[in-house]
Amino acid sequence: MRRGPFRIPAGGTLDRSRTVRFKFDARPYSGFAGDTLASALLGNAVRRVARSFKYHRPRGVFSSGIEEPNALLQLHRGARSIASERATMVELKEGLEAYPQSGWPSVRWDAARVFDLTAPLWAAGFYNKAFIWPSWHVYESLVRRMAGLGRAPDGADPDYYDVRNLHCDVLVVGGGVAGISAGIAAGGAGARVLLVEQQSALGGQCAWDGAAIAGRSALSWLDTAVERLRQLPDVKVLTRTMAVGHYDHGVVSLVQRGDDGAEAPRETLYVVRTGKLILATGAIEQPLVFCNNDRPGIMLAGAAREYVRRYAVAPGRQVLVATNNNSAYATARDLKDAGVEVIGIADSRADPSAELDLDLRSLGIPVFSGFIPIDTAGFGGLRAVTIGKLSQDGLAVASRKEFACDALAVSGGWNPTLHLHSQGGGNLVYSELTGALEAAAVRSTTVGLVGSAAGINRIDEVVRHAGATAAALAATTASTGAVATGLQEPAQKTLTGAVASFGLRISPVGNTARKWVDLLHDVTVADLELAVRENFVSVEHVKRLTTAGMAADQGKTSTVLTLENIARLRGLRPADLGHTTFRPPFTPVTLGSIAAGDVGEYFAPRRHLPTHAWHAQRGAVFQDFGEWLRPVAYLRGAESRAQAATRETHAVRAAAGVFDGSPLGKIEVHGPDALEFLNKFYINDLSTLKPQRVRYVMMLRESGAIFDDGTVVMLAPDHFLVTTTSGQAARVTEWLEEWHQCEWPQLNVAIVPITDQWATFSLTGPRAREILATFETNIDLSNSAFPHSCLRVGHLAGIAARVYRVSFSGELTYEINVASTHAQTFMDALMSIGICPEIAPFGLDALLAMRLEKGFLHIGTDTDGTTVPDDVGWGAVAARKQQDFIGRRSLVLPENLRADRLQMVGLASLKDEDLQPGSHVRLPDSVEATDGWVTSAARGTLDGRPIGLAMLRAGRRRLGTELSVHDMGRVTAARVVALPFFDSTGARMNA
Amino acid sequence: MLRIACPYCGLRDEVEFRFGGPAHVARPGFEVDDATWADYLFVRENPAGLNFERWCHAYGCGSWFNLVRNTLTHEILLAYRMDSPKPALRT
Repeated sequence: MRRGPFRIPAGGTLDRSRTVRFKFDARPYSGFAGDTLASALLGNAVRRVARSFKYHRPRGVFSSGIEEPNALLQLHRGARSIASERATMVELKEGLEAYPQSGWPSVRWDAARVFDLTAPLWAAGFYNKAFIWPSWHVYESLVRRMAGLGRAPDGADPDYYDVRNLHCDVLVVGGGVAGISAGIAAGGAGARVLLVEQQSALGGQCAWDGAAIAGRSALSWLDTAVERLRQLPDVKVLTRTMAVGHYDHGVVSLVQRGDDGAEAPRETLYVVRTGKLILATGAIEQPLVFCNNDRPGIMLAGAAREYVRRYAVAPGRQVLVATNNNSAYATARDLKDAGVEVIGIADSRADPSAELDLDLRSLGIPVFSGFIPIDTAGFGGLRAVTIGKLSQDGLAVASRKEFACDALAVSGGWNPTLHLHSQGGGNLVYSELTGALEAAAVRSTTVGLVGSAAGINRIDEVVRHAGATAAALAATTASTGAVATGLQEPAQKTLTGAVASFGLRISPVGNTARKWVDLLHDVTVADLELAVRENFVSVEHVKRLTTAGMAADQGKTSTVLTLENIARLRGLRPADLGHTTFRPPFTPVTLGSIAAGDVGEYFAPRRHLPTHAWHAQRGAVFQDFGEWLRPVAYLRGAESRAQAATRETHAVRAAAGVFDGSPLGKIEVHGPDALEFLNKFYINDLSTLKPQRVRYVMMLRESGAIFDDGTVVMLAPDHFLVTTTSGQAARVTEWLEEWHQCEWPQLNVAIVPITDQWATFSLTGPRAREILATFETNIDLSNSAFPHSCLRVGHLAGIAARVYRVSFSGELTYEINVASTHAQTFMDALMSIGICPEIAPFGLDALLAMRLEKGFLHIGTDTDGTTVPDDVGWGAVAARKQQDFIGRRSLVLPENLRADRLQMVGLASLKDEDLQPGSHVRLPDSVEATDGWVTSAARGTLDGRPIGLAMLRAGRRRLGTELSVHDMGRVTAARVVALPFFDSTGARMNA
Repeated sequence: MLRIACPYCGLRDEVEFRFGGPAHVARPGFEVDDATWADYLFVRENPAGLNFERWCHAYGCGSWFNLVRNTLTHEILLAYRMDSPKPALRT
C-alpha cells in the first residue's frame, strides 16, 4: 500500500492516528480519518481517476467540493452500488471500494481515446446528424453501451430511506462563518431556526484557512459560536445535509446522508416549511479557458489551497498558478509555506501589484504579469504549461514562456452560489465587475443572502452583515420588513477570497476545439461556435444543442464561461443574454430518498374486501381494481382462469352463486331537500319515485357525457340511498358535495358516504330465493311481496340488512347489504346452509360475461367521455324529464343530436374467434377510415359463441348488417344483432 | 408545493387540496343559445396575474372555497369562503 509522495508530512486537520484503508479500481490504498476519497487519491498520487464523457481523455480531480466535474466514481458493488459519486464529497471510510466509470481496459489506458483523436467527427449535436443510414437500430446497442456514466445497482436496494417534515421560522442554508453568524442572530431573536450544513461538521472554510475573526483565531471563534448555537433554545443543526430545492411559499427540500454503515436511513429527505430563508451558500470558483485545459493535474486554485491546508496533500511536485484575480495568491503562498515548489504566478492582469495589499517580492514567488496560460502538454497527465503575454487589447499573444510542471492551479474568479435563490424566483444579473451571475433585486421579503453568496468576503464584515441580516429577517413578518439585498460591497484590496479586479480568463489563441468549457459533458468553445454558426442564438438553445451545463454538475464550473463565450461570439454583452433557468435539485438526488418507505408492498394503498381471507381460501385470483383487491375467478384444482369463469357462470345460471360487491359505491342523502337535490343530478325524474322502489339512474357531466350509473331508492321523503359504480364511489360523493357547496348551498341536505361501512353480497341464480328463504328473517321473499327493483329493510339470521332486488347478471338476484363488521358472520351463515347444490362464489370475469349477454351497460368500458344517453338507448328518458339537471342543456347541442353518432349495438362473431375490445369495425358501404369499435367481448355463457358490444356509427339502424372487424392487422367478421343476447323478456331476473 | 390557507383549517400543504377551476362562473339557464352554453362549458379566462379560483380541501375538511392567486408568482393573496362575495381587488 502506497502512501504516496504527495502527502505533506505535517499540517492539515486530519487525524493521522487513524489510518483508513480503501480500494480504487481494485487496488488497495490508505488515507486518514478526515480525508475525502479525492484527497486520499491525490495523496496516493492517483492522478487519472476518470475518462471524459465523449473523447475519453484522461481526467483527474479538479476541485474540492460539490462542483467536481471529473472525479465521478462508482462506489460499492452489487445492490448497494451507486454511480457518479463525486470523490470530493465522499467521506473516506474503512473498506470503501471505488471504481472508475469509464475506460476500457482501464482508466489509465483507454482504447476509446480514439474518439479524442477523431474529435472533429463528434462535435456538438453529431448524433442529430448521424446514425441515420440504414437505420438507427444498427447503432443503438453500441451507442447505449458507450453512452452514459456508471452502472445501475444489480439488485433490490437493501437500505432504507426516510422522508420527514419540518417547520421553522428561519432556515439557514450553509454552516460556514456567514451561516453560523446568521443562525446565532436569528436564534437569539427568538426565532425557531434550522441550520443545515453539507459537510459533517460546521465551520466551512474557516476551519482550515487560518483566518482571524475579530482578532482571534477562526478556530477559537468557531468553538465559541458552535457552543452558542447549542445553547440557544430553539436552534436545530443538521449536518451532512444538502438543501436541494427551493419551491413556492417557503418550501425547501433537504437531503441528509446517513453515516454510512450505522443503523440509520441511508438518506433522509426533509421537506421544510420555513418563514424566512437565509442563503449562506458561498461561492464556486471558475476555471480559465485555454487549449488543453482539462489534463490531470489542472485544478482550481481554491481547491489546491484546501488540499494543502486541510488535507496536507500537495497537488503536484512543481506547481504553476494561473489567475485573473487576487484569490489565487493565497494558494501560492500556502503551497510554498507547505514546502511545495511553486514555479510562479501567471496573472492575466497587466499590473496586479496595484491590486494586492502585499509586497509581491516578499512572497518569494515570481509573478508573470499580463500572462495567461495558452496551452498544456502531457498525454496521460500534465507535464508542461505554456503561458503567453497578452497584447494590449487582449486579442493576441506577444511572447510565450514554457514551464515543466505537473500541477497547474487555475482561478478565473468566483461565482456566488445562488441556485436556491433563482429557483425561488430570484433574478440573476451578470456583473462586468466580477464576471459572475449575481443576485438582482430579491423577489420576496423572506429571502436573505449573506457571506460570499452576497459578494461579501472580508471576514469581519461577513460576521457583522450576516448577523444584522438574520436579525432583521427574523424580526419581521412575511408581508413587511426590509429587503435583504444582494451585492453590497465595493471592490476590496485583499489577499484572500475577494475579487478586487478581474482580468481576462479566456485565452485568445489556439484551436477552439481543444478549449474546454464544460468538462463533464466534454463541451469545447468550438461546440459553442458551431451552435452560434447554426443560428442557435438563445442561451437555452445553445445549451441544448451543445449540452453545455446539462450534466450532473449542472454547469457549476461552466455556466458563466458558456455565457461569456456565447456573448463574445454574438458580439453582445453577457448581461444582455439572460441566463438558463436553474431548477431543482441543486445536486443529484437518489430516487430512494424520494420514494422513502413507499416501495414494494407500500407503493400504493390496498383495500381488502371485508371477507378477503374467505375468498383467498376458496382459490380467488385477485386483481387490482382502483386499489380494491377483487376476485376475478376462483380456481379449483388445475383450472385456468377462463375455465373457472365458465364453470362459475354455469353454476350461477343453473342454480346459485354469490358475488362480493362490497366496493359498490353507497351514499346516503338526508334532508328535507334531498329529493330536489338528487333530481338535479340524474336524467331520470325522481319525483315519481315510490318508497322502496329502486330506480336505475344515469348521471351526466355538464357536457352531456355519461358520468356514472347506479340506483336511487327512497326510504323516506327525507332519506334516500344512492348507489354508484364501484370505481366512481369517491368521485360521485365529491361531485355531490361540489355542486351542493358551490351551486346549491341553499338546499338543506347531508351527504353521507357509506361504501366502506356496508358489505354487499349478491346472491344470484334461479335458486336464490329458495336459499334465502332458509334464513330466519322478517322479510317476505315471495315474488308478489318483494318484486324485482325493490328494496326491503329487515334482518337475516339476526343481522340487520338492506336487501335490493337488482341484477347485473340477468339472473334472479338478492343484493344483500350488511354492516361490514358483520360481513364474515353473514357469509358463514350463508355458506352453512346445507342444501344442494353448493352456492358457487363467482368473480368479475363471470359477472362481466353474464352482464354482457344481457346488454347491460358497463360505464367506462362501453362508454367514454363523449357518450351521451341517447347513444346507449336512454335518450327518451332524458328527453322526457322536465326539470333541470346537470348536462341537460348539452343534450340538445347539434353535436349531440347528429344522426350518425356512434350507438351501442350487439355483435355476434361470424367465426369461432373471440372479438377483441378495441378492434375497429367498418360498415360494408363505408367511406370512413372507421365506423366505430368493439367495447367489450365475451363468450356466451351457455352456448359459448363469441359475442361483444360495440359503438357503431348510427348503429341502431344497422341491425343485421355484416361488419368487418379489424384487430392489429387481422380482419374478421361479425353481424349486428339485437340486444340482449340472452333472456330477452327478463323472465329469469323477474322470477 | 404551494401552502394554502383553508378558511376553516388554516395553512396546509397543497397536496391536501384539489384545484377546481375558475371561481364565480355563473351557470346559465336552459334558454341560452348554443354559443353561450359552449362558452360556459369550455372557454376560460387565462390571466397573467391575479386569478380567482376554486379549491377543495379534499384531504382535510372537504370544504370548497375560493382564493386569489397570482399566476405569475404563485403568491396567494386571499382565501375566502364559498358564500362570500367576490372581493374587489385591483387586478
